[in-house]
Amino acid sequence: MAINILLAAVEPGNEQHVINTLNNISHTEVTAQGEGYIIIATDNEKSEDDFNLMETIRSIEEVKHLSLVISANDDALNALNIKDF
Amino acid sequence: MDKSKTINRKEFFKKIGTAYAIAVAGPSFFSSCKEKADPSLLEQLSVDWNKAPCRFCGTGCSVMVGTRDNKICAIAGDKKSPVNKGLLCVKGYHLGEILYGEDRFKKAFIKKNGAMVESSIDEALDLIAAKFKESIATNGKDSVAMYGSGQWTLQDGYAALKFFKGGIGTNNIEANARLCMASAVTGFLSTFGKDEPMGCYDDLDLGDVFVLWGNNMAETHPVLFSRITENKRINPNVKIVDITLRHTRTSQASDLVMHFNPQSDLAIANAIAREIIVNNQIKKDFVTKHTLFKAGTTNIGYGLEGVAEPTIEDQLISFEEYKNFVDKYTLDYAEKVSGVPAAQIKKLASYYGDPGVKIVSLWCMGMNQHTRGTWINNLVYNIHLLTGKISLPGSGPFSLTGQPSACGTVREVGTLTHGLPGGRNVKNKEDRDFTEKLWGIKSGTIPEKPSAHTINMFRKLKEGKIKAIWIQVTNPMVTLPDREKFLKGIEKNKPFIVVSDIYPTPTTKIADVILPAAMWVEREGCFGNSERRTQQWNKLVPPPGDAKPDSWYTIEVARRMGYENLFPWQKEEDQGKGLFDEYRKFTIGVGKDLATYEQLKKERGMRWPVINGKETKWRYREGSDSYVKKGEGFSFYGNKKLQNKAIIWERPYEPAAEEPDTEFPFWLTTGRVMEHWHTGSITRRVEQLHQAVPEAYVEINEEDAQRLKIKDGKKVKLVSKRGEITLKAVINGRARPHKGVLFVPFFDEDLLINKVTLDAHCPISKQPDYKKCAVKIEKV
Repeated sequence: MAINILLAAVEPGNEQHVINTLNNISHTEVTAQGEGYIIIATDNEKSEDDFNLMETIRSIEEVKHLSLVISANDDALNALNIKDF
Repeated sequence: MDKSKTINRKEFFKKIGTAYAIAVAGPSFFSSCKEKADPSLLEQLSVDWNKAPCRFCGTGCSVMVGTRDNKICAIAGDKKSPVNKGLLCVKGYHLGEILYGEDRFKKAFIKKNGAMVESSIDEALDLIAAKFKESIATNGKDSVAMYGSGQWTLQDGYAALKFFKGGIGTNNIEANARLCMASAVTGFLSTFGKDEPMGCYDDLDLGDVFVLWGNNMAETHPVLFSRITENKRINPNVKIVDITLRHTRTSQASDLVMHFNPQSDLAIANAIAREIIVNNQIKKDFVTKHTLFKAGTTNIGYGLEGVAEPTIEDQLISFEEYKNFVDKYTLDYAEKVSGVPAAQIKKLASYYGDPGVKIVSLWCMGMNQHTRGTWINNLVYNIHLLTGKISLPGSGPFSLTGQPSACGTVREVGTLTHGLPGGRNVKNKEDRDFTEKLWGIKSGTIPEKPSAHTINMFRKLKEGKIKAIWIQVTNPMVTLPDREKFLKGIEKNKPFIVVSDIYPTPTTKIADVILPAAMWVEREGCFGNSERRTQQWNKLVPPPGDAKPDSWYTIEVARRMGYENLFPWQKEEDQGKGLFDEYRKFTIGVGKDLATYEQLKKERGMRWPVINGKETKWRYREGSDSYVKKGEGFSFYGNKKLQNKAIIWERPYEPAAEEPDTEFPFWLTTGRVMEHWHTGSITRRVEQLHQAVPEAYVEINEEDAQRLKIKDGKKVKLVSKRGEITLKAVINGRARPHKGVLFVPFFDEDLLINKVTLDAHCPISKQPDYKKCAVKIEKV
């Protein structure tokens, strides 16, 4: 799959610390944050190893739980009719 | 491809995915969120999205399947699902890709002159029908067999059951759920008179304490575990207790980790019951009104080949007799047997005994794959019955399942040698009469005696007593314990073997005919999950090549053998609803009432019994279960002959079938990892999952490794009395077994741990014990 969107549960108060850590991990991007949660997009085409990437994120001490929320392959991405947007 | 557009698409997808994630997590978590969810974004994808239950474990997550141009192109967690609330595990997100492995079977194959030759479906079906008829004519009805699985849809299982029991007239049908769930079934039946859990997943959100009996939920049921950890996040007083042989990801999230010796869970459970009695924490009115006490035959053996099966009897006993029995299980005795400090057992007993604590016991293979699997199930029920913590929101025993429809297809449809639909049993004349009447077949067609449970079925196959077998959607040449002896016997006696599957496996290697199966959303179907939830899905994409659903193949062969009257649905598109509607008639009025097909099409599943369109969350309790009459409070109505009371069983600790000794000094236990599902035949074809865990390995305790001078990552040989394999040692990996214990996952057909395991099983449930045998480990 080309892109994964991950939902990370984080100890409240530690969101910024986790975001700072994520900013140092290649091919990841924080796309939203809330109290106790961070949403992360990973570009698996570039990383070529989304599982290790997930494990890396999971190993951040303040990340209490990490789940994939949606992922899509190139077919799905190509299915977007970008002219409509 | 226009790269700039690709980037735009990715950006767009990120936005959609982020909005989706926000919607999934819910507004309560995102009050401070910088972005707002816009559900319409998802709909703007030019992709069709439809619901389906996940194809992997027994959790029954619902996924949204994105399709375009007759292919799956995206998978998302289904936020409308009350099971997973939009979340999925790592396998679930790669679910779509399991259909698209390069070596997918698209055509039928027939063995000709020793080689598999591509054939038409008609030629293959004609051959199967001819061979089965020939075997029956020459060797009798019990010379043919069907072996299916908890991955069968309800429709597949029902068609196979009707064909074998109602058509051919043999009880030679089994399913691989015998290997994973049978002890849960016999545990439920012997205690409550009816199978399957009384509670539901809502308990995970409502409980105060969660006791995991040999259950690494973080890896094997990650979405359900996330419900517990979410409960704990919101309610910091929530406790998780992990009773385990290995320190796992589950242990990391737990408050109390109890490292116990294999088999000693029997002693721990009895010690907890004793503590509850000694501390006067019994809920006396509940116990008096709703329970009886029983003792059964002990020293029942281990089901080993060549040893006669014991006669198992039981009798009612008094509470005083039961109390005297558990009195032996002091904390000190339990500590001596289990290795768990008495203080820890006492702490756990205090959780169970505290009337103010809502408590859920959870288990899966750790308790079921056990030579005393039925007993340990009984013993955990004992604790909940003694304390009255059962059928209540947030309190109850909960047996989890490992396959998507082990409950629905195997346990509810009844695809085991003794089973008939709706929890009926071939040994019961009323049940046979009801079934024969509903099927419109001659009285006496269904034999009154069960024939062979799975292990005996394959023992008969290797001995040449079963001449023809049809294996659908399962891989016994990887999963059977002590596999080599079965393989050698089969190669010697050469029975006729049909395998329906989607990819080559060690089981298709021994096939005479291979049928290409349509899988998951390539056909219409229903699954039943661990919490009694039946879920339906529609056919969303066409199967590849000539592939067809297993139920279609079964019906076509049945027609060729003269049983066309049993299957009036001519077209494949009529069979999904037709088979379900007929099967549903068996469920009405017996406490397993299923929703209508029309309702299931609309809903994210319904938990039976479904009465007047309303599902049941907690069985056996007045106000929640329509089968419990007003004023009864609780009614364990499966035990009608025992005044609707549940049974508290006297079940002793007895040692394992094989224990470590000087020559074979280690316990071997086997199991699963999160990335792979069962024998790996589908997950190993998903590149990312395969890369994550490319091969099996042996986990070894650090101190044991140091003593034996074994280095992490180096090859070691694992040897039992039955066989050996060489694989990589892992020290301090994602899980760490305690001293004297080795763990090997069973997903790898190239490093087959079942060459080493023992085919000892619970003599009541007939379920093998994959969790305990003795081995030695050698440097290579």
